[in-house]
Amino acid sequence: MDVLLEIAEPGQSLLPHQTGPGSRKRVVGIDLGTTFSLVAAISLEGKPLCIPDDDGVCAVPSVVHYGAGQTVRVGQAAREMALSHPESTIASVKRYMGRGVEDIRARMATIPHGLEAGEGGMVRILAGEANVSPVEVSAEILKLLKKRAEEALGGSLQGAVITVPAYFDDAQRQATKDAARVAGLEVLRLLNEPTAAALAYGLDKGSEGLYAIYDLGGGTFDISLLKLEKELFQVMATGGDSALGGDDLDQWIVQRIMTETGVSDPDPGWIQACRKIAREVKEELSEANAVTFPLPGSATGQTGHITREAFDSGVRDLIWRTIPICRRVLKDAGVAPEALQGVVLVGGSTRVPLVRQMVAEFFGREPLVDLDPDQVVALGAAHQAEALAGNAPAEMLLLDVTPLSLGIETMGDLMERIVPRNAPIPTARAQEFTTFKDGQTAMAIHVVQGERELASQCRSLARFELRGIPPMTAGAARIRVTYQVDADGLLTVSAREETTGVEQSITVKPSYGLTDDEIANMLQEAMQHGEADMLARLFNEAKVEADRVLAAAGAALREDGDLLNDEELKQVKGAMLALWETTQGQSADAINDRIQKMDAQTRFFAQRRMDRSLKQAMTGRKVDDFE
Amino acid sequence: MNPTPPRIHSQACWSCRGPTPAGLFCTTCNALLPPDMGANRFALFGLEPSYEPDAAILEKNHRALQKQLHPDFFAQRGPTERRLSLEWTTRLNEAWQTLTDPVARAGYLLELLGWKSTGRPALDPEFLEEVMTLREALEEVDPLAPDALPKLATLKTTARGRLKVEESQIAHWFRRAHSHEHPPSTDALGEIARLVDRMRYHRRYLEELDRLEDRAFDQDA
Repeated sequence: MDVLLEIAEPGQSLLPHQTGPGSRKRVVGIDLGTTFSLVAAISLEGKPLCIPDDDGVCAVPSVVHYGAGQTVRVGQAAREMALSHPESTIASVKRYMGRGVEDIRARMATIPHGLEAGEGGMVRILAGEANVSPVEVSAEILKLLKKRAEEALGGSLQGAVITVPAYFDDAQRQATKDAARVAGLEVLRLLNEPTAAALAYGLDKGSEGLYAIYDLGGGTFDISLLKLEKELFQVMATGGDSALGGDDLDQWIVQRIMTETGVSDPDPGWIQACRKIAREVKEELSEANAVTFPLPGSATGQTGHITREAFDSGVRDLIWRTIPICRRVLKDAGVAPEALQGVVLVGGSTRVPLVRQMVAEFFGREPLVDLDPDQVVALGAAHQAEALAGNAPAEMLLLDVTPLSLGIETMGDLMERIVPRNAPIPTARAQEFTTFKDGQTAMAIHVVQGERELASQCRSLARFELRGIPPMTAGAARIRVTYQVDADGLLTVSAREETTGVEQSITVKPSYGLTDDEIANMLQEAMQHGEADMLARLFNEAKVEADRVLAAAGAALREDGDLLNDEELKQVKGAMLALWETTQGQSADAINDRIQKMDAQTRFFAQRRMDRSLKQAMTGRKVDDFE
Repeated sequence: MNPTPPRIHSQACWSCRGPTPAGLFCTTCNALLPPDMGANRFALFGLEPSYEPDAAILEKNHRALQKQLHPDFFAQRGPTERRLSLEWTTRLNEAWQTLTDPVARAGYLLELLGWKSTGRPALDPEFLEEVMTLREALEEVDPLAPDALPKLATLKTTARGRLKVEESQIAHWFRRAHSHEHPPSTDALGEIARLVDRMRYHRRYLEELDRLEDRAFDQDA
């Protein structure tokens, strides 16, 4: 009887991943947000679910506290330390990713901890006793999510899709990927947040047509225009502001409280307390028309008062900044607002009524809010992780674009575009340059990203020097610079002198990235905890390769096995068996050795197969000739 | 039926080392095979070079190929296949962008027909005059004035109209070149190149109008 089975709660179990080898891979989607982060996986029933903590809470505050004696607290535990230990507690670290010190100081008014320039140009944060890079801080958040997911799924993770704002530049994307590496996570893909949201939304609602995804999070704004069809999600255009979000709305309230209380030089504790109040006031104002609240640090119970009207008029300019960006994206895609099927709101800040009102006015329609705006990104990422891991049949095709133009600095500080924004990825573009002096043997290459006409106003991604150009007269050398953007939206640059055909090996030093040494150090530290992770990954890579070699050899035997006598067949099968045995062991080196040996031992078979095919081709031609 | 774009045929399959008949994947071991980097961008979609390729076929074949080749479908494969998938889709996207853009498509066809650009566009007096008129109209617009948006809209309509005319002229010359001359005369190619230069100019002009429009819109708050 069915009844017996139903006693085991039909609710969605997240423990489907325990069965034998060759079954589903343990993979997750991670939304690494400015204020909150989430991890989600696909349930046995095929539904994406966010993984909660023991108290049933899914959202992890993106806060990290560095205590005495190298103790690190993450999430709610860290947030609780923020009031008492503001200087050693780091919140909204996403805003620091891939950024330099000056950049951050120029954009953020109040920072409760010290900052300094790191070796690679990326900022380092002085949090109490700790001196850490944003990559390490993000890695701490990722480690917590990883641990939570591993407990829920019953084993170590085999991959993750991590979301990034669509408008993240290359340095910010690279920093996110580095953070995952440090946390011991294998990144299956960096997925743009609005694309992830569209994926969750589209699959959930079965929607087709043109959709705008308006994503206003804690610290970033993204707008993407997508064409949703059965089995195809195509990003038409994307835009945004990677330093605009709910934090800025909180900041307005903080400033107002500062003005009202006459506090001009607040200490870090006051700032943290004030931020906490500001966030609560903002949230309450989404429901109420006015809010009365206790002033920070007031022992006498003094209160402040803010009306919705005052808040609206105060933050109107901030929210308005998103509207020309929406307009630009529609224009880039050549789409009128009327042509849209719907506007989907994503991100906690879209709960602010003024945001909804302004979006509705601009697009001329009420926006859609029928999925939880906080969770939808993580859920979409989980879907994508499932497909990339091969757990679900790969039916959905996801075509994304570059968010910002990529270019090179030319004479006179001009930005020459090489890859335009909204180009479908992966993509590669090349441009030729020449020398401007006789006998010039080196050329400085400055890689920039952005839409401004002057290179100095764009984001600097990397500088390198192409050396060893043979001396020629000015203008004779032909230096071909190639930009390759992969499916994660990450850029690789190479340069080559064409007249001599000499390819120069170049190392791209990211302007705001981590140096290789820094990464190596972090990995070493992470290795102490995650050496097993690392070895498991190496073994996995080798095993994937061995499986391919074995499958290929098996296929060749089925096709051309008649070319071998019994003795030879034994030899090939023996080599295959020896390789298969190494895949049952633990050592990646043993597998790789065996692959090489097998290659040598079966070379005669490959040769015979090619000879036969050649003979057949020639016989075929003769027959044709006679006809 | 899915198109089978050109790939390298002369080599043995990199994976099973056996012979590889036509197709994207090895018929013996199913490994993804490398693209032919020298093949032309029309052939990638199973099309003949033409200024007026069948948009429906292009769209259909592009999608069918992406569904077989996109890196998302190779995430669990080994490093070689992941790299090949990246190479294939990079080429697909490059070809797709060339073929769907009237300016890039014309430029690419000229290249295929052996046309060598002289570098600088020839300045014919008639076009120079048009350029001057367009410039003057642009300078008369104050993006901060209340009538800026309608004024810019009018200029945009004009520039877009020019682009349409130029595109149909290019199409005309290519059709003529294909039906009457083998190979197309230098005169015909020169005429097309001249029109392509004009299209490029009108595009840049539109971009400038866009920038002014953005500024005007920002003021509108």
